[in-house]
Amino acid sequence: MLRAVIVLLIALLAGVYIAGKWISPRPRPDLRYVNSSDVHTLDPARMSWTQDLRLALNLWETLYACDPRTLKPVSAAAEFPPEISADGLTWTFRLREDGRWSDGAPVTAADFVRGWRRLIEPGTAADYAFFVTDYVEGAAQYASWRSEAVGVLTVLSRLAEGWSINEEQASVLATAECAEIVRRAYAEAMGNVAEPEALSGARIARAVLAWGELHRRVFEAHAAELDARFARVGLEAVDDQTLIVRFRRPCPFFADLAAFPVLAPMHPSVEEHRERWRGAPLTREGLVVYDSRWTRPVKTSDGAARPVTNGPYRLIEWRFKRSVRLEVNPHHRDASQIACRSVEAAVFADANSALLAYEAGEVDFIPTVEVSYDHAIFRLAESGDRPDFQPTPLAATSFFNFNCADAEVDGRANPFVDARVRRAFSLALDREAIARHVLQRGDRPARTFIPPGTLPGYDTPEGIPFDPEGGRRLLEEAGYPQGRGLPVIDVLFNTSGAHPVVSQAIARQWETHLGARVELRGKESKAFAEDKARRRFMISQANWYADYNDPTTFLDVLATGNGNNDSGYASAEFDALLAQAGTADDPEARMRLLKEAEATAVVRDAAILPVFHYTSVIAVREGVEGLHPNSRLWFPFSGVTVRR
Amino acid sequence: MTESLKDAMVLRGRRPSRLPGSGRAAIAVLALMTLAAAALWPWSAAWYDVQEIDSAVRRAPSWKPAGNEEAFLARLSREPVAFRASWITQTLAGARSLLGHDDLGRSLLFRLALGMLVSLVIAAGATATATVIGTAWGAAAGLCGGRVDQILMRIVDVLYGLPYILLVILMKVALTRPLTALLGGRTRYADLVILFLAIGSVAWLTMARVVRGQVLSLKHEGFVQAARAMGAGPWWILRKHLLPPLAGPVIVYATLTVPQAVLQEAFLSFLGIGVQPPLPSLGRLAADGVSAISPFSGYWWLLAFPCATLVALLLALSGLGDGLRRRFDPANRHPSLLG
Repeated sequence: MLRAVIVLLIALLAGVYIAGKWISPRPRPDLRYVNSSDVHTLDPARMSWTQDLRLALNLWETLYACDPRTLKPVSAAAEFPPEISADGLTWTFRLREDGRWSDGAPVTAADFVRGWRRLIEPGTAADYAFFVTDYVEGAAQYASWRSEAVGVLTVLSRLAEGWSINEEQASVLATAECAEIVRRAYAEAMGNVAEPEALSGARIARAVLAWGELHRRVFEAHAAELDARFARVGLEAVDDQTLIVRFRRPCPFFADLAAFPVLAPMHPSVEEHRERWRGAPLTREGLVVYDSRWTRPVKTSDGAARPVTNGPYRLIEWRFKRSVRLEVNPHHRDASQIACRSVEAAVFADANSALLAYEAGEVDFIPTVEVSYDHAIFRLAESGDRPDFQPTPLAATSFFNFNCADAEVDGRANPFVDARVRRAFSLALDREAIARHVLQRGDRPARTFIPPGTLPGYDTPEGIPFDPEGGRRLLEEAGYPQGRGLPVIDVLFNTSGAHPVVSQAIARQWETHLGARVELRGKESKAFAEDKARRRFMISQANWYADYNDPTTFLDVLATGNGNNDSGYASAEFDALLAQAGTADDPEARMRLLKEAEATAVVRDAAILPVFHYTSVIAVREGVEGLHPNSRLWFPFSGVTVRR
Repeated sequence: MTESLKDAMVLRGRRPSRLPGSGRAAIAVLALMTLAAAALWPWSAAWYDVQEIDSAVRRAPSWKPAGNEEAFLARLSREPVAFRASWITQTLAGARSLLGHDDLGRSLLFRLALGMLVSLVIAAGATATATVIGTAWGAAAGLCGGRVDQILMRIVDVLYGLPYILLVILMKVALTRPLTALLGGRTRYADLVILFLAIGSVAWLTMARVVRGQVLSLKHEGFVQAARAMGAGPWWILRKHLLPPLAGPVIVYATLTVPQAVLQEAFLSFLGIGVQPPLPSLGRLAADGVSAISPFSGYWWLLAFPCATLVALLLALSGLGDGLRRRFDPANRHPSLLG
């Protein structure tokens, strides 16, 4: 017995030793940086997280690139600037002839149309679909026609499978445009032409007929119409090198949008990963769905690698929750000049351990240091002792949403439906003290929503001042002298980062200056997001980061019905100003209108309570050059040089 | 028989009538801490949230007070207890920087004083809840016996099996809204009540088992049998013969529950499901202290003082519990019965 145990132990030790020899250490990449969490997706059309977009902008090349020093668009896949028609509605992009996919094939205008078409498909559920649907002519109509058809086909496929449907689902069958197809298919399937008016959705649902047959006919009719419908969208690949985009309203900042990775082109080989049904590249519900494995790095037998990308880098390896590795795309036009040949994005879920890894020299770069003691990091950076810590003002704002919409929250009257109360609370906040004394990390006090000076050409309106006396007066006007009569104010905040401290400071100021009684409700991120989405708050903490260089990236958030408008602010005046700016020809007049819009929503109506504009510390190891700190944390790696 | 009886009679005089030394020391420390926290209450309740953000953010401990005294005194005048002019108030306001300031410039001294009180109140509330439920439940199970005993104790077993954190979170979710509405939106008081109900509702399980065991063994003692033979009813027996000898173990166990409850409160607040800021508790203060410690900054006082207080409090409470256990231990009282 004992001998058996000893033999086993020795075998085990030998095994461990051999395994240790066999697993060689991983080759060190030229640049290793910190990804704060694992990649959510590497499908550019579905991205919305900063760390995903950072990888995408290095993997794919969009029409233009964003220069990390100036944040202005420069030539990338297409020559900058585009040819713009006199009315500003038709833009012609000329693609550069030396654009190559990582398999060596040339990048064509049709690849861009393919990528953008995918963005607006209902099956993609892209957060940034509005980049196309809001501006490109016919795109919104195409998208709504498609989602309607998907609705009808979903109901029909359920019926075909023998499920029953309810009245509401049945009514989908009678909706405007698709009803015509259903009606025709129904008539054909039944062999007679029923009188169209009497054919309500409910009646179709009750009718006994071969649902499978009807579903098939509608599906085929829809699939046959697909391309003809898309031809009405203002996207046209005239030839391999020319892409014409027609807008439905002037979009002077589209060159900025065109540098955003969600508008990446798509290689034809990706189409192989599409789900098909009955010969058409749609699912039986009519959705365009791609097998998500198309973004998994795979080396095929003929030496080609997928996914095929056209950026300076290609994807080599993706280890779940550990790292993503990129290497230079050998076919890229600048391939020979790129000094940084390989990049690894290492996942560090905990910011403290990421910083420790950086201190130990394991990583070269932290895009944003987010530790609980970041004021200490900032002080080090300021003192000059650590030139590798670079404080960078961001185009991002930390603010609080007032609940402008619900008269009652949790059974208590919500005073913030009154704009005077909101303004009073906004006036009674000493933002300077919070930014300078509490945070102590270089954040700028925010008196407006849009960080001044971060968006070229935009002149920030006069922000909301610190005026507790004025706040008290307004509160008295609204019927709450010295805060009497106010219910207990409920403030919801996210318990991560500096939010708890900032929320406590704000609560104290309101108690001191306005005599309000404030209760704080800290929740961890998920529970917080749920309460925020259901608008279960009077005041709730929030952040917004600029996506592109135009004031609308902030102001659209406050538009009535916008998906990100958590405050429920709805002002016809503000919406009208945004709409006017949308159709203004003169860029200066447009900026003036946007300025007025911001002043209306943020200063006069106080829909939100801006607190501070973020400053982030970026850590770049000495010897790594070419990572230019900028307000959007936009880091292309192709210009980086690394010296060890 | 005669030997042991003689032993018992001789030893009776030798039984320890006082607490052992460690227990006495524990009581002294505990009394000192509790009294200090309680005595400071009028000031700590007024001052725990005075934020001197322009002068005292993250200031190290020092004899010299930081910031302006005005903010402190102005805050007091609005409270119901107006000590404004007294020399105690002046002295205390002058001592506010003794333990340093936190990241909102609040005095750690007063936050710690109030935090300890909050933790103790939660622990006392939880212990009272646990004692009442546990004693009633255990006594009922032990006295009734048979099927009732089976059912009652199986419920205890099932509750024992459930994860403790899950129970607390469930209670919090279920009770927060109605309690907050009841208290007119003051979530910070609702949190306190929920915390001691939640901790108490978990701590009673062991108490129920201990009491049931005691009742079962007492039931078969000669004096209970004799009382029953003389025609005494169950209530009379409970009152005269069962509850008095139960008092010892119950008190001992309750005393040992207090430090557990303090620790659990600290743990829950550390996880963020305890009291809400700005109200301090020992756990929350320690959690804030942990996040302030880093290789780049040395705000040691934010972690050291809350943790030291927590450790001292826990040691004192366990020492007291242990002392009481020995004081009431039947082995000390009737050694011969065991011999």
